[in-house]
Amino acid sequence: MHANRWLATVAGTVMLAACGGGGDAGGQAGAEGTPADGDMLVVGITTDLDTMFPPISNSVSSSDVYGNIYWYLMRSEPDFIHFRPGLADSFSFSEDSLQVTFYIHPGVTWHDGAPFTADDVVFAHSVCKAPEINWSAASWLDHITNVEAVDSLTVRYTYDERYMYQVVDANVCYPLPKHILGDVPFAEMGNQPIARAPIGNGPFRFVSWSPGEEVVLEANPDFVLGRPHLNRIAFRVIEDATNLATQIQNGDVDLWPRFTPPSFYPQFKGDPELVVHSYPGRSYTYIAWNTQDPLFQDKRVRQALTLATNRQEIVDALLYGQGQVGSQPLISTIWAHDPSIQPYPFDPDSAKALLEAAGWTDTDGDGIREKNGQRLSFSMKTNTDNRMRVDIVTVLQQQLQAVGAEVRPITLEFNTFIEQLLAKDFQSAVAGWSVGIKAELEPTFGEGELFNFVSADDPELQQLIVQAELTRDMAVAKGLWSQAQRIIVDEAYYTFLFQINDLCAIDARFQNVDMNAYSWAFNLEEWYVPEGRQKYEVPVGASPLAGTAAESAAAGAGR
Amino acid sequence: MTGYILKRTLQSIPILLGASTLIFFLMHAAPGDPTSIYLRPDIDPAVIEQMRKNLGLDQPVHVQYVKWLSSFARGDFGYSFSQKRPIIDIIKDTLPNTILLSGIALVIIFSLGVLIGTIQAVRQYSWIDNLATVLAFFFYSMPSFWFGLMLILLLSYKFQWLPASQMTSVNFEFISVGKQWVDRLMHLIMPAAALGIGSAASVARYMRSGMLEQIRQDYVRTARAKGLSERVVIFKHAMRNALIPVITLLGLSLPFLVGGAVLIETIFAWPGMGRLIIQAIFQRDYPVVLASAFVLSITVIIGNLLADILYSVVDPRVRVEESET
Repeated sequence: MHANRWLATVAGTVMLAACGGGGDAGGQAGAEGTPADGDMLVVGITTDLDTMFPPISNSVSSSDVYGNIYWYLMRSEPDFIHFRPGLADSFSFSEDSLQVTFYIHPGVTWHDGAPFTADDVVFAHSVCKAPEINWSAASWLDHITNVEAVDSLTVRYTYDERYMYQVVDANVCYPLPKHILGDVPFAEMGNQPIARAPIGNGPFRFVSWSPGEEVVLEANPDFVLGRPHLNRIAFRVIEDATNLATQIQNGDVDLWPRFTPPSFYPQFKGDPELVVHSYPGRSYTYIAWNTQDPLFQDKRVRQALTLATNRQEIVDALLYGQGQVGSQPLISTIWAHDPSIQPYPFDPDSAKALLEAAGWTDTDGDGIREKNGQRLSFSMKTNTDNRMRVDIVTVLQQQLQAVGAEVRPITLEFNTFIEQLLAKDFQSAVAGWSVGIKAELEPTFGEGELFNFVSADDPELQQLIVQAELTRDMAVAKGLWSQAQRIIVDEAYYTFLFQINDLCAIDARFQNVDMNAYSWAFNLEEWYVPEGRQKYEVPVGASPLAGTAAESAAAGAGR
Repeated sequence: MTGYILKRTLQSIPILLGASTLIFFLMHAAPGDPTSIYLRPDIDPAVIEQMRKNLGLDQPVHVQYVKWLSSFARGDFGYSFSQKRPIIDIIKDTLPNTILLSGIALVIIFSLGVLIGTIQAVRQYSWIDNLATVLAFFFYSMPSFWFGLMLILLLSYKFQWLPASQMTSVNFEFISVGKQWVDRLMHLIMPAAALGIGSAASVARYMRSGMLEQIRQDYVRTARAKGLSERVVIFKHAMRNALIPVITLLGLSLPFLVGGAVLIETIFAWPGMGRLIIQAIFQRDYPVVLASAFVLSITVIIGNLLADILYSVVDPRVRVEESET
C-alpha cells in the first residue's frame, strides 16, 4: 500500500510509528471508504507566515502553505534523491549527463487561467539567482549554467559538471508566473500583490489570508493532474500549545503538524477521534564537546562521556519513545546514512575504565575525578526557551555524575546561546541541528567553518569530506561518507543524543494520509473524507476572493 | 479645553521620543539580529552577510538610529523584516483588533465593576457583599493568562461552549449575517473576560468604598428625606460622585489593559498588536517593535487624556484648565 511505504522502512526501529487512535485502528494508515470530493481540513499552525513569495520566504509555515499552491516540475520522494511526477511528467539526461530535460504535462495552467509554459521555469531560475532577491538557497544553482525553453512544454537545464544532485537542484526553485512578474524589477517582487495573494499552478488555489489569523486555500477544480479531493484547507495560526491541543481534541482543528512538546503524544494517541503519525524527522539533538577546552582534548574523555549517557532513557522519558538514539551526523532521512554505524552503547563500566586510562581518578573521594589537580567538572550550556533541552541537561547531570563527572548547567536566551557557541565560548553544550536534504558535513566539520564550533580538525576527515562531495558515483560516495562518519564517531566530537520523530495528530475522518520526512503534506492532494463522514459543507469557488483572482488573472493573461 | 488638549499633546512628544529611543537601543543591545534565524549549516554565511547589508544592519547603531528617526518623523514606519511588508499595513491590520478587544474588556470592567460595587455598598455585610468580596480578591490576584487558559480548558475543552481562538469560525463566510454577528461575539467573550476580569474586580472594590462613603453624606440623607425613591438616590445622586475615583482608575488601568493584551492575545490567537509585539521581539524585528510600541504609547496617552476629560465632566468642581496651571 502506497500509504505504508514509510512505515515499512522505519517499522523496525519505531514500533509505535503506526497510526491509529484508540488502539483498534492500528495499521490502517491507509484508506477506508471510497474517495469522495468535499469537506475542509483545518490545520493548526503555531507561527504565522512571512510571505507567500517563495524565493524570499524563510518560514516553515509559509512553505507548508505555498507548497500546495505552487508545484515543482518533479516532486521529491521521501529520500530526497528520487522523484515522482509533478508539473512535469518525466525527465531525461543527455548522453554526457551534462543536460537534463524536463517534459511538462500539457494543459497545466496558472490559477488565473494563463497557460503554464517552459518560459515560466526559465524566468523563475533568473529570479532565484538574482542578487537582489538574495535567495537563501541560491548556491544550489551554482552548477546550473543555463536554463532554456526548448519549446513551450520542454525545458532544458545545463550543468558545468555531472553530480548527484542535478535533478534536485533543478527542483528547488518554484516556477513563477512570468506573465505577472515578468516586467517587475527583482527588488520589487516581494512587494507585489502576488506575495500576499499567490497565483500558483498547483492542486490548491489561494482564497484569503488574514495575517496572524488564517490562510484559506481551496481545491483547484481545473487542475489537469486531477482535482484534489478536499474542497478547502484553512490554516489557523494558534501559538499557544495548550490552546491548540484543546482545539485538536474538541474537533475545532483537524491537524496539528509537527506538534510539540512530545508530552502530548500519549494524550492524542489515546483519543479515538485522532490518528497520530510519527516518523523520523529532519533534525537531531546532540552534546557538543569543545575540543579546544583542556578537559576535552583527549578523545577518550569524549568517548567515555558518550558511553556514560543513557540515551535510550532520554528518548523514552522525554520523547515518549518517539525518536531514535543518535549514531551519526547524517541522520536516517539522508541517503548517505549508514545503518551499520551503531550508536555508542550505554556502558558506564567502559566509561569509567576509559577515564581511568586517560588519567582521571577520584583521589579525594568526593565522587568527582581529578587529574593533575583539576576536577572533571564542566559547564553545559543550552537555551532556556527549549524546555526539552533544559530537561536533557538535568538528566545528563545525573547520568554523568555516576561516572565521576560534574556537570554545571547554564541556560541562556537563544540568541545569546548561539552567539556563545559560534564564539566557541563554551565547554559543552546541548543543541540541535536541522538537517537539509543533501549529505553535507563540511559546514559543521570543515576546518575554519562557522558552524564547526567543536573545532574538529582532522586532515583525513577533511580530505574524505571533500572527496565525497566531488564523487559522482552514488555507491562510491556513500562509502566515503561512511568513512568520514566513522572518524567523526570515533573522535566523539559530539555525543549524538537522538533524532526526534515528527509527530502529527490528525482527525480520524481523513483517509489516505501519507506523511513522511519530505512533508506531512506529501500527498495532501490525495487525502479524502468518505461521504457520510464529511464535516463541513463548503463549496469550491464560492468565495468572493476566488472570483476577483480569476478576473485579475484574465486581465493578466492578455499581456 | 482645546488649549489643554494641545498642551497635553505637546507634552507627550518628549515622552514618546524618549521611550522610542530607549527601546531602539535596548533592542540593538540584545544579542542576535533579524538574520539570526538564518544561522544554519545549510545556508551560506555570505547570504546572511548580503541580507544584513540589504537591511542596513551592517551600519553602526547610531547611523541606524538617525536613519530610523528621520524616516519615523516623516511618518514612515519602515518595513518589517519578518513579515516582509510595510509596517503601516501591519498596524492597520492589528490595531483595530486590539482596540476592539480592549474596548469590550473596558466595557466589561466598567459595567461589571460598577454594578457589583454598588450592590455591595447598598447591601453592605450581606452574604452577597461577602461573596463578592471574596471573588473580587480571587480574580484580582489571578494572573490573566492563567485565567485565560482555565477558561479555554473549561469552556472550550470540557463543555465546548465557546471557541478557543481566532476572531471568527472557520466557516464564517458561509453562515448568515445574523449568525456572523453571534459568531464574532462568541469569539470575543473569553479573551475579553480574561483581559478584563482582574480590573473589574479592582473597580468593584473602589466603587464599593466610594459608594459607601457617599451614602453617608448629608446630601444623600436630604435626598431621602425629600421622599425620593432609593433607586433615584443611589443611581442619580450618589453614583455620580462615587464614580470619580473609578474614572481615574480607568485611565490608569489602560496601560495594564494593553500590557495584559500581550499575553491574552497570544493565548487566544487574537491577531492584535500585543501578539505582534511579542513575535517581533523574538524575531528581533526592530522596526516592528519600535512602531508598535510607539502606537501603543499613543493609545495609552490618549486614554489618560480621555480619563482627565471625563473627570471634569463627572465632577464640575474640576476645571482642567485651572488645575493644570
